[in-house]
This record gives sequence, structure tokens and C-alpha cells, in this order.
Amino acid sequence: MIDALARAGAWVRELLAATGHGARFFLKLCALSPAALARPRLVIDQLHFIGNRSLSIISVSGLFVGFVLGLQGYYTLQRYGAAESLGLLVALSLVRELGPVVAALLFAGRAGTSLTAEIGLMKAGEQLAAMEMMAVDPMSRVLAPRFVAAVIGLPMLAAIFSAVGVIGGWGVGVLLIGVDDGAFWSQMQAGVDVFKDIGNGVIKSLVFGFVCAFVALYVGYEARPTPEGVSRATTTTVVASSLAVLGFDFILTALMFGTD
Amino acid sequence: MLTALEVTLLLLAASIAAVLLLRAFGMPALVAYLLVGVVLGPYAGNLAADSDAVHTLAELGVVFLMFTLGLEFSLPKLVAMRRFVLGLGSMQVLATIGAVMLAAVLLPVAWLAVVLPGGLDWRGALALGGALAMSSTALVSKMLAERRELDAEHGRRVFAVLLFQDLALIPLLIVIPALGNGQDDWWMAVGWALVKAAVLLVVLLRFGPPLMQGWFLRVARQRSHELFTLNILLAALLFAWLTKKAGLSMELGAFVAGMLISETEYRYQVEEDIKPFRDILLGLFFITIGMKLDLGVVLQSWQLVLLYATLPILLKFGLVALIVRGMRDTAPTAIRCGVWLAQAGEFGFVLLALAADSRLLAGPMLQPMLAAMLLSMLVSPWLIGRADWLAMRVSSQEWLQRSLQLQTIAARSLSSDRHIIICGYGRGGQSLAHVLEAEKLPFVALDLDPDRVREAASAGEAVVFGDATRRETLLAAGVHRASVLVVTYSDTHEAVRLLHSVRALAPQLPVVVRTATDADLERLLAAGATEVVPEVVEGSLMLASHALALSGAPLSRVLRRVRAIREDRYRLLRGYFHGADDQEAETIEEDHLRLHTVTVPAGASSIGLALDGLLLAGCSVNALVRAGRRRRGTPVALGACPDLRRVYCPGLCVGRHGLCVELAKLRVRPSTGRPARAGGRNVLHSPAPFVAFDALNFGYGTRPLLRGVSLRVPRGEVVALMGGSGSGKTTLLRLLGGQLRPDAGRVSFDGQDVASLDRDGLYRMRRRMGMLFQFGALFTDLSVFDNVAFPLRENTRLSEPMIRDLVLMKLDAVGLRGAAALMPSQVSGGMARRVALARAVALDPPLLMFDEPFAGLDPISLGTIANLIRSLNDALGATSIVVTHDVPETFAIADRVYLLGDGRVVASGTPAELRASGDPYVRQFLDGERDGPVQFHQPAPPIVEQLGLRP
Repeated sequence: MIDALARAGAWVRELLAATGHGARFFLKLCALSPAALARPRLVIDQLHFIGNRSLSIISVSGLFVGFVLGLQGYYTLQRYGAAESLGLLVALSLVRELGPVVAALLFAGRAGTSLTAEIGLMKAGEQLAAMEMMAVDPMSRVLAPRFVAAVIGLPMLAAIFSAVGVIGGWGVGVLLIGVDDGAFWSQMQAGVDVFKDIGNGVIKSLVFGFVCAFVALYVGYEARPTPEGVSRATTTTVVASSLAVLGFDFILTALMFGTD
Repeated sequence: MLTALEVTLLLLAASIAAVLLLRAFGMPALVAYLLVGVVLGPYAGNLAADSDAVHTLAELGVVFLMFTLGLEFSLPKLVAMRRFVLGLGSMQVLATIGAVMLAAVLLPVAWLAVVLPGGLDWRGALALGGALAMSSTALVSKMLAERRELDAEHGRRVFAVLLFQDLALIPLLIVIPALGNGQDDWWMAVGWALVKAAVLLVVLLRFGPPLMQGWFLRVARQRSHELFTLNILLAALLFAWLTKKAGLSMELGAFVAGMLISETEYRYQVEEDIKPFRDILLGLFFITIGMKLDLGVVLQSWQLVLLYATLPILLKFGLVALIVRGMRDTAPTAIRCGVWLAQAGEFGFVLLALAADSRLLAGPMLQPMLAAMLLSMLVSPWLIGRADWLAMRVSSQEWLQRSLQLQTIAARSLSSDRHIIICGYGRGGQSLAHVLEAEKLPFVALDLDPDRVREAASAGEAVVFGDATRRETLLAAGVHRASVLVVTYSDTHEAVRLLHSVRALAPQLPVVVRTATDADLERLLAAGATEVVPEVVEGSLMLASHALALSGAPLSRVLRRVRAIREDRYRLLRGYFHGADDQEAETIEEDHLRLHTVTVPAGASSIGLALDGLLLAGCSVNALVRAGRRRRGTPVALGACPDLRRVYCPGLCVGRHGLCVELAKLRVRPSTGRPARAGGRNVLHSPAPFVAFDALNFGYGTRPLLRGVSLRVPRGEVVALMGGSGSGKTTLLRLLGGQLRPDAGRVSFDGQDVASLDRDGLYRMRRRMGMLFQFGALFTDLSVFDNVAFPLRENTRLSEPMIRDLVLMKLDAVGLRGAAALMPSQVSGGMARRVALARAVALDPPLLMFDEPFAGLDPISLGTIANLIRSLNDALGATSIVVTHDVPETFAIADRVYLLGDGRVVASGTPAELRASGDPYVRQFLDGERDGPVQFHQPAPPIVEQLGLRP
């Protein structure tokens, strides 16, 4: 009984310590980010690494999500005789919800894991310690540029995801099923608000960018410097960032779209 | 009106007065001539008429100038410069014309009207651009020759551009009048002129040399100086006339004539003979240029003049600098070229006058433009004098200055092969240089006294500023191509350092070293000197030979005797008897040794430490004096001293009051009785060891790892930390690097407490450390080159070319220059270790740490790395700590070994001492025995019990 209590206490204490540690890590990353922007070369390299390599998976998934949205949306809408609103449905669901969330999930799986593994291996190979010994701060030289690149990269990837998805929905709806082309686009233009819909979607993906980048880097940096530790850390990254993205998605949706 | 004689007299008198006056202000004579022209010219004093005859005569000055320049440029040299002439030159001229035309087209009309009264269309802009593109061949090449910068990086580029401008003059001279008259077939004329020029040049250059050779030989056979001089004048003027007839400039012809003569053996004679003509006529030329300046116009529209003077200077400076930089030259070279070529030139006047005649340029802007061009020529000597300053200013970093320095050294040595490098240009170096000069042997002298270097260099001697003990300097001086290296100063410590560097770079190069006495003969020979010349020995030899000769011995016998002694390598004289005044009476133990008293003041860091823990490398303590009482004890022998510079004497004290230690083996120069000084620094410079661990406790979690470890690492030594795995050796390095903090005790680096440093302090300290990690820890996403460049790029602001040179030198030192482009995954483990070593020494740190440098290497790599550690340590003048288990390799290179075990230092001493030790732990470790103080088995219940064999 006492033992269980002590264990619970220790668990709570460890949890609190880890939270504080993580928060400090996050704040430090944010504080170092402006300085990282002063060396654009490093950020651009990372942006290429993180962004370009995720481009194929993001656009292919976006296309298929668009296809599915086109099909499902059509079947539902035509029951109410509102098949012309298909464009609006596809665009809104992509821009407000699916774009940011699915892109973030894919990003966590594709780029997040590679970031974690890279940092973890650099730690295991004493590269970070070597950098420390060369009077170079690994946080600002290695972590901060990756952080900035991920934060910049995810909104862009989400935008690409949404754009490709809209094209996919159009392909299925207009080309395949025969929804009116003009209605498809005009409904979309009339119904999507730049600030309320697109703007909020961008904010979401920006937040997800912070979340995914932070989780990937933190887990990698704190990984045990062994092969086993690194493999465990990559798994943790996927699980933790996916859960965090979904959780934040709920909170953000409630905050931003709840009032109207 | 004055008669011709009176005008000549007036010009001569005024010139002499002006030159004398300006000399006093340190201005070149050229400015004086220009001023004389301004004052006496038609627009001011109107004393000397600006007649055509004078002009023609004056132009000959430039012709002769180009002739003498041609003498310095042989045909092969010109061919080698073709990239500059055609590339740089054409770009400069075209870019200037283009910029002026662009400005004329793009600028708003209202602005143009203010700047250019009378307007400007594209044809006018082309003419104006052509005029402005010209720089002053006469002024610049005279200054280049005077300042001996013709062979400098910028000098060759500048001269090449000037040559191209001379060529560009031809089409411009044709195009400008054609444009003015609205002719359409001007391109035919240009083409025709270019064909003529090309044919003439090809004919002259192809058939000229043998013709010239025969002609001069025939004339020289007459042995008449008068005839020879006349002949030179004829040759120069004939070629000038020929090119002029072909529609080219006279200067070009004279240049070609000079070039052809430079191939003959009469070159130097010709140069001497033509000099007076050239100087007088060139002076006249500058006077006539000065005469063109109308002071009235300058005063009337001074704003316009100022604008016309500054704008083209800035424009040309910018364009030239950009183009030169664009051709991948260094920024200082680009700036120098820009400054040298920024002024207007005499051909500019010609083109301007032509454009005005063809009604391409409006009248109102003509006079201000002329005045402005003159002004820019007037200020350009001053500007050029500031070129170095400007170049330094733009790249004011100390490192870049060093690269400039290296560049000058390299520029001196690049052209020579099998040359002789003289280190030190004092009296000895200078007399050696004169001997070499007389023998016509190429040499490069390096010296560290800036005043001496400046004086000697301005007197035309091949001496450059540079620290010969630095490897970069030696590389720049062409140590690989040199035939001999001579050390002309007698400072043994410097010489030994230099020898280390030289031996690392060029093991086969013969090195002659001077030394004061024969005392250091062995040491210098051991350090790799091929020959050592002791001054005292040579001096006494000369004394002996003079004495013998004067006492009536036949000269041949004297010479034979001296030679015999020399051949005996001074052995006869080496064991000379010390006179009474040579040494103090106290010294009885050894020759050449001196006692030196070291007082330990109150508050010295060594107070409270044990005597034998102080590592008085190379010193032995002779006696202690405490509170005025002397206690003579057994001298403590503490190993051989590798380098006296690093001998420092920590005072050792038990009490707080002046305790004195007398140290033997500090050398004192017999003549002065003062302690030997190395490089101006006192031998006894630092009272504290470089790195010290005091009573250190540390543990991971609750498990204590280090329990009261105390050890010290003296400057300049290679110290090994050995011990079984898990004995806390790597932890010690991490504590020293500040990556871990001790639980108790103190870690100090160069007198600083590491634990007390904040982050910035820690980083500052780490920049002075280099660490080799266990498996190299190369950055896997960077290439080998970028890995070594990493600390340089992150911690310094060097230019990329400089970083490239440094990285290649470091990689060369570890033998991996060829692997620079590979990725870390493409090199083997041993190579990766060597790359990491190059990276660790990239910043030339004073402290090097090696964490298991030998682990998992094959025997060849093992030996390579071990030797590298030792030689890098000595070449960099660094201190090294090596963590390792590898006994033979470590004992071969270490000065001192600490054996760790059970959380403390169990044994320490020189390798020899440890080998002789009877301590059971030491024996177990050295002999690799399974049983001893260290248990092979982890504590466990008996195996029989655990296997369940016993019930």
C-alpha cells in the first residue's frame, strides 16, 4: 500500500520534472529560432531535407484523400439534391480539418522520425558532445535550424496537401461523376472565407508544426545513446506527435470554429 | 615671349624647385611635374607656350617608359598574362563604356541636364565612356615600377588592363569620328585597322627576336658606347613609328621593341642607357599634361569638376574591384586593382578632344571634364599610396593580414625553384643574402622585425615579413621546393621549434643553423639540423688563423689547419676550458649549467604543494632556503628537458614566507650572466601548471568514480592517463572540458577554475582546447573537408579561401588531403580518427585531449597516430593529454604517465620510471596479468555453487 503510494508519488514527481524539462527545452528552442534565421543557409538545407523529402508522400496522400472526399461527398449531397455544393464540401473539409491534421500526421511519420533518429544517432556517435567541445552549441547549430525548418515547412506542406486534395475532389466529382464544373468552383469561391477558413487552417498547421518539431527534437535529444534507445525514440516520436496533433486539433477547433 | 632656351631653363628650375618641395612632404615627383605644368601653363602664368614641338617631345617620354616596361616583360611572361589582358582588360573597358551608356539612357532627363550641360545621346555616351575607361599608363606604370609592385598580384593585373586599354584605343580612335560624321561603314575601318595591327604584331613578334639579336650583336661589336645608345634610341623610336604608321599607338610599338630586346643579353645595359632620356622626357610629358588645366574653369564650375572627378573614380574603382573579385581573386587584390586603375588617363584626353571635334560632346561640359580628369590624375598618387591601407581596412582582421603576408611570401617564392630560404634577416642574414646575390642564387628571406623588413624591401631586397616557425609561412615560402634553409639567428629554442616544423613538412631539406655556443650542438643535430655553425667556434677559428698568419706561419698552412679543424666538426674546440669569468664559482656539478634562484612569493599558487608533485621538468632542485636557512639536499632528478622554453618553476612552499628553491640546469649565457630568454619571453613565465586536478571527487549517481584524484599537466608535455576500463579516465577529460562538474575538488585550466566558468567562459576556454573523441565523432552529414572546416567556420570569421588553405594544410598534416571530398562513411576507422585529429587541431589549440586514440586500430595506423600526436604537440607548441590503455605506443611518446585505478592515481612518473617500478598494480597493468590488485572477476558467489554442482 505504502509502496504503491510511494510509486505514485515518484511517478508524479518524475512527470512534473519531465514536463518542466520539456517546457524549458521548448522555450529555449523558440528563443534560439530568430538567431537560426540569421544563418539562412542552415535553415534552407534543413527545409530542403525535411520539406522536399516529404513532398511526394504528402501530395500522393492529398490526391487520394481528395478522391475519397469527392466520392463520399457526392453520395451524401445528391441525396439532398445539393451535388453542386461538392466543391464547397471538399474545400472546406480539406482546408479546415483534413489538410492540417493529415499533413501533420504524415509529417510526424516521415520527417519527425528521421529528425529523431538523426539527432539520436548524432548523440550516440558523440557528435553533439564533440560540437560542445568545439565551443559550438548543438542546440543553436543543430536543433534550432531543424526546428525553424519544420515550423516553416509544415504549413507549406499542409497547403500543398489541401491544394492537391481539391484537385483530386474535382477530378472525381467533375470529370468522373459529372458534377457541373462552374458550380463546383463558384460554390467553393463563394463559400470559403480567407480568414475564417484558410487562415484558421494555417494557424492550425503552424501549431502542429511547433508540436511535431518539438516532439521529434526533444525525443531525439533525450534518447538514450544506444541503438535500442534510438529505435525506441523514433517510435515514441510517432505516437507522441500523432496524439498531440489530434489533441491540439480538438482544442484549436473548439477555440476557433466553436463560436460560429 | 621667352626664347626656347629661356623656357627650358624656366622649366628645369621650376621642376627642381617643385620636386624638392614635394619631396619634403613625401609626395612623388610626378605630382611636382603636374603642378609645374599648371602654374606655368597657358591658363595661369602663360610663361611656357604649349607648343606642338614640346608635345611631340613629351610623348616620347611615354614611349621610352613603355620601352623600359617592355624590357621587363619577356614574351613568355606576356603569354602567361593573356587571361588578364584579354579577360580583365576587355571587361574593364566594356563595362565602363556600358555603364556610362546605361546611365545616359536610363537617367531621367532632368538629372542629365544638371550633370551634363548640353545633353548626351548614346553616341556621345559611347565616346565619353571610352575616354573615361582609359587609365593613365604613364602614371600607373611608373608608380608600379617605382614601388616594385609590377610582380605583385595586383601589379600584374593592373598592367595587363593598361596594355589592353592601349589596344582598345585603336578601334575607339576610328569609331568616334565615324559616329560623329554619321558614317555607316566605320566597322569596315575598325576591322581593317585590327587586321593591320594583328599582322604587324605577329610579324614583329615572330621575326623580331633573331633580327634584333643580330642587329644588336653587330652594333655592340663596335665597342662604342655612343653608337650603342644611338642604336637603342633608333630601335625604340623605329618601332614606335612603325606601329603609329599601322594605326596603332606609339607606346605599343615601343613596348614591343623593349620586349624583343629583353630576350637579348644587352637588356640591363639598354635599361641603364635609356633611363635618363625616359626620366627627363616623362617629366616633360607630365608638365604638358599639367598645362592643360584651366584654373579659371575649375574655379568657375567647381561643383561640376568635383562631380566629374569623383564619379568616374568611384565608378571605375567599383567596376574593376567587382571584375577582379569576380575572377576569384582576393578582396585586397580587387581593392588594390580598383584604386590603381581608378584615375583618368592621358589617352582619355585624346579621345575627349576627338569626340568634341566630331561634335559628339557638347562644349560646356568639355573644359570641366578635362579639368576633372587632370584632377583625378593629380590625386591618384595619393590614392594609390592609400591602397594598402584601404585593402587592410576592408579586411582588417588579423587573420587576413596574415594571409596577405603569406601571399607576399608566396608571391616572392612562387617564381623560384630550388631557392634558399633565409630565416632571420639580421646582420648574418643580410651578409648571407649578399653572397647569394653575387652568386645569382634565388632566395627568400623571412624576418619578424617590421621596420627592418620595410627598409630592406623598399631597398629592393627579397625579404618578407613572416614567422618562420609557423608551418603556413614555411609552406608559403616554398619549403617543398627549396634547396636549403638557413637559420641565421642564434636562438636555440626558436631554432628547435623551426626544425620541428621543417622536418614535418620537408624531411629531406638540408638545414643550416647558427648557434651562439657549441653547447646546443647536440640538441640541434638531434632536432634535425644538417649543419650547425657555432659563432664562438667560427670566431675563434678566424682569430686563430689571423694570429697564425701574422706570426709568420705560411698562409697555406694556416688555411690547411683551419680546414682540418672545421672538418673535424669542431671537436677540438668543443671541450674548451671555462675561464674564470665564464661562470660563477658556485657551479661545480656540470658544465653549461647555471643555478637559478626562484623566490616563491606569498600567495603563489604552488604554496602548500609537495615538492615532487611539482614536475620541475628539466630542472632539478638543488637546495631549499627557508627563512634564510639553506638546506642542501639530494637534487631531485626530473627527467630530461625537451625544450627550455617550457621550463617553468612553480615555487614550492610549505610555509607562507619566502621559501627559495635553487634550480640547476637553467642555462645562462656565459657572456652576460643573465638567464637565457627565449623569444623575448622569460623562461620562468608561468607559476602554475597548464592543467591541474586537485583532490577531485566525482560519481555518476550514487556510484563514486573518482576519489581524490590529483594530477598536474605541465605546459608542452604529452601526458598519458592510463588505467583499466571504467577507471574514470574519460570522465577526467569531460571534467576538464566542463561537460561534467566535479562533486568536490578543483579542475583548473591555465590557472582558471573550470567549474566557476559560465557558459561563455566555458566556450571561450573550449576554443583553446582540441579533443579527439573515442571513435572520431565526425559529423556524418558533412564531408571530410567540411568536418575539419567546422570549428574554423563556427568560431572564426575567416574568408572561405583562407579556410580552404588552412583545412588543406591540416589535412595534409595527417596525410589525408586526398580524402577531402569523401564523406565520413566512405573512410576507414583509422582515417576517420586522423580526420578527427585534423579537426581537433584546426584552431591550433594550446591543449589537445585524446580519448582512446589507439582503440581498435591496426598496427600501422596505431604507429601513425602515435607519431602524429607527438609531432603535432611539438609543432604546435601544445600540451597533450592522452587517455589510453595501449602501453607500448603510449610509453614511446609520453613524457609522463599517470596510472589510475580504484578512483585514484595509483602510480605516476616517466615511462622509464614506471617500467622500473615494482608496484604490484603497475606490474599487473604493464604485464597484463590476470591476477593482481585488480580482480578479473566481478564479485560473485563461487561458480560451483551457482552451477548447482554442490548440494
